[in-house]
Amino acid sequence: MLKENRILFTVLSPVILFVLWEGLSRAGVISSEILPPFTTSLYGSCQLVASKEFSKHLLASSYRWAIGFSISLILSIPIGIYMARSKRLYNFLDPVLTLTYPVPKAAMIPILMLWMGAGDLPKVTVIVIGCFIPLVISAYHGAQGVETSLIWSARAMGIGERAVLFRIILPASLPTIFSGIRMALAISLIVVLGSEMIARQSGLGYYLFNSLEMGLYEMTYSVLIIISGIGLFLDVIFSLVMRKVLIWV
Amino acid sequence: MKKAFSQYYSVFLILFVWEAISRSGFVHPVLLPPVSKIVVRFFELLFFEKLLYHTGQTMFRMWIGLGLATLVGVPLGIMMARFAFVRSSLEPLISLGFPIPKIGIYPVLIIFFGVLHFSKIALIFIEALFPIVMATFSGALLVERKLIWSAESMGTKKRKILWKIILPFSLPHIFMGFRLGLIVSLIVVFLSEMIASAEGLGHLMMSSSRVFRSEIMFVAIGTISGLGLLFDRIFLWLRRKALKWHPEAALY
Amino acid sequence: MAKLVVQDISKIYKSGKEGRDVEALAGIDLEVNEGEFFSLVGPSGCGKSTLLYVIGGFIPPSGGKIFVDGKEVISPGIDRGIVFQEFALFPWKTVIQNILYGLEQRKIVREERLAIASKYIKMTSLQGMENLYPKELSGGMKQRVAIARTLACNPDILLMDEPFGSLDAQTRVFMQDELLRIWDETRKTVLFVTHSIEEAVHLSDRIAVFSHRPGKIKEILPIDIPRPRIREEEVSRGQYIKLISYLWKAVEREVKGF
Repeated sequence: MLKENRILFTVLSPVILFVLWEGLSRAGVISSEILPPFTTSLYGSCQLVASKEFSKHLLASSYRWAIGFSISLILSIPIGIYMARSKRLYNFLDPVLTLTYPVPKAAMIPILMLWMGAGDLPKVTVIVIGCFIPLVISAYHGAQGVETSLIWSARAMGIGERAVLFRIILPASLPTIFSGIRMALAISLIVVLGSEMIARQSGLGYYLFNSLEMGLYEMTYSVLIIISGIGLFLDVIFSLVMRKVLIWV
Repeated sequence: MKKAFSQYYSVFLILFVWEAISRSGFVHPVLLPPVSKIVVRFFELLFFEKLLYHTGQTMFRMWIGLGLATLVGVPLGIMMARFAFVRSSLEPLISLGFPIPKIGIYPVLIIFFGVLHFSKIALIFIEALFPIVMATFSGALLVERKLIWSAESMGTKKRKILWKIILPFSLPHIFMGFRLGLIVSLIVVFLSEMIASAEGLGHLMMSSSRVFRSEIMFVAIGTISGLGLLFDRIFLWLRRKALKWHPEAALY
Repeated sequence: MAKLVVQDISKIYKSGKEGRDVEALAGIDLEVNEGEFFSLVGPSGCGKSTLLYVIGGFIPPSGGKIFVDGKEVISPGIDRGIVFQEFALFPWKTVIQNILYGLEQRKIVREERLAIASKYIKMTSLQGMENLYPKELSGGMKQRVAIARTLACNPDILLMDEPFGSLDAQTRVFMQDELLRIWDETRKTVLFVTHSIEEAVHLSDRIAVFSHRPGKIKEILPIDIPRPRIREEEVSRGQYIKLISYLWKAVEREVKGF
């Protein structure tokens, strides 16, 4: 198939989607109460971002997410790497991970709220818990997959254990770790949003659900657009960072 | 038995510590009910209350959503691999849709479909569709053309190539995608029921949390996790059977 | 009337860029007779496999026609079976399921299908391995399954694309004689592509020497060593050595790119 045609289709399909949205709504095929036109929603999004009230919630969500995600990275990745090196740790953690991985992490929210009260702490904790497993597993596999020949060559060159860890194992496991981070990123967003929709106190999730309950459907769509935008934005940033770091892959 | 114990010793350790802390009075029993009490409550709910009913609701939604996602996703993935036009059209939608936290769409689905089953089934469908389509697509891409040529030279018509060659060859990848879809549907069904539902395990969780009946909360989590584990085991067993021809089946 | 007639076949792979088109075949004319074992030799990348794929109907030619038994062919068909270097077995099917594959497309009863499959399993010495999966087979066994599978469809012409290229040297020599034995039993028309001149001389009635790209046939050499071709006797024949040395030089000229 001609390259030009392919590019055409690629660009066309999302455009068609939005045109459809706009068209169905404005034509009244779907009542604009249920589906406000795309442009109206987009305009609403811009208004929201400018409004003080909304920004408060946006900030609250971002703050929780950033802290939770960072802690998760700092905690999980070293544990995963260490699991690859210590058989004892592996034997201890592996069954725990296998059994807890089907647990829907957002389900922990009410329990954590029971323990930690309302506020940010339970939400941050849930993010840490939610991202823990994919990060640990990918860090483990990444570190495990480093070819022994690489490690042995380094040791033969007289490089000490700690240096082997930082200069050989860590860089070699990075590709796998990054794919784990990507998954954890997606999970963390779902967890933040989900927990806010459950706890209903502040944040984007609360705002989103609140607009639904109050019947302000237009606002619902506007918030959705903002949330989608954030998700895409973070993914792009992630890809850029990954390309910079993994420039040698 | 002994082997299971030594392999899972950390789990038993944690359970034991849990029971001890809980009974000791260090922690308020509402915050951390003893494991034993949770187990008792589980059976109580199972036989005398509506645990089965709620579980049924949850499972119904999950499996319909997942089933639909598979029925739609697998053919879609294969078509993406075979027809450049389909691939070019769908790839941007998938790349755009993937990073968006799809739980955000839930309120919109509620606007359209209300709070009953359909909004949740729709959400599960959308969530599970992505991993299934992506895995099927990457699997179908790998089919070597010489395999297709061999089939053609033995009389297979072009229409049948899809069913006879591409599908069986992509099966390992399809299984992988389905597994991810399974995990995701489990999470999403529970989450959506926690947010807005009148029945189901997620609802059970929320309603009991409002009256501080923490034992029931744990029963709800335990049930869904237990089901998740069970389905995963069944799935792995099925996969072992179906893919016994695959040289690297062990890796999966 | 020749079994297979290749008439002025050309193949050009177009690239988007100016003047970067790849001319794989530049006008091939060829006639293969019924029951003949015909080999194609030549330098790497000269297009011999491409010609095979065009004859098989898998790739459309840019020009020219192919005739089998006087009728033009443009798409794959059961009259031309193909065996690949990579075996191309269906990994999800057992040995016997692979061999039965082509038979299932036809309207014959189950007992007859199994009987035909058994016949070819015996012919290719695969008894006892019917229920194994390809992952459990050695290279030589896999190729035998591939050959049995293709023969079971009873094609008029057997196209073989370096079928023994993936095998180790000993298995390769063994398989060559196995192929001769099978061919003797079935007397199919065979078009055989190979890099190995010794292999081509040992197996063929005639050999076509390809030029380097763009592929043209430089000459066609008859191999008049009498059959059956017994390796031990053959090697000491002056004729055999002369043919090999002649062909080596012919190919070498092409490899050096004149």
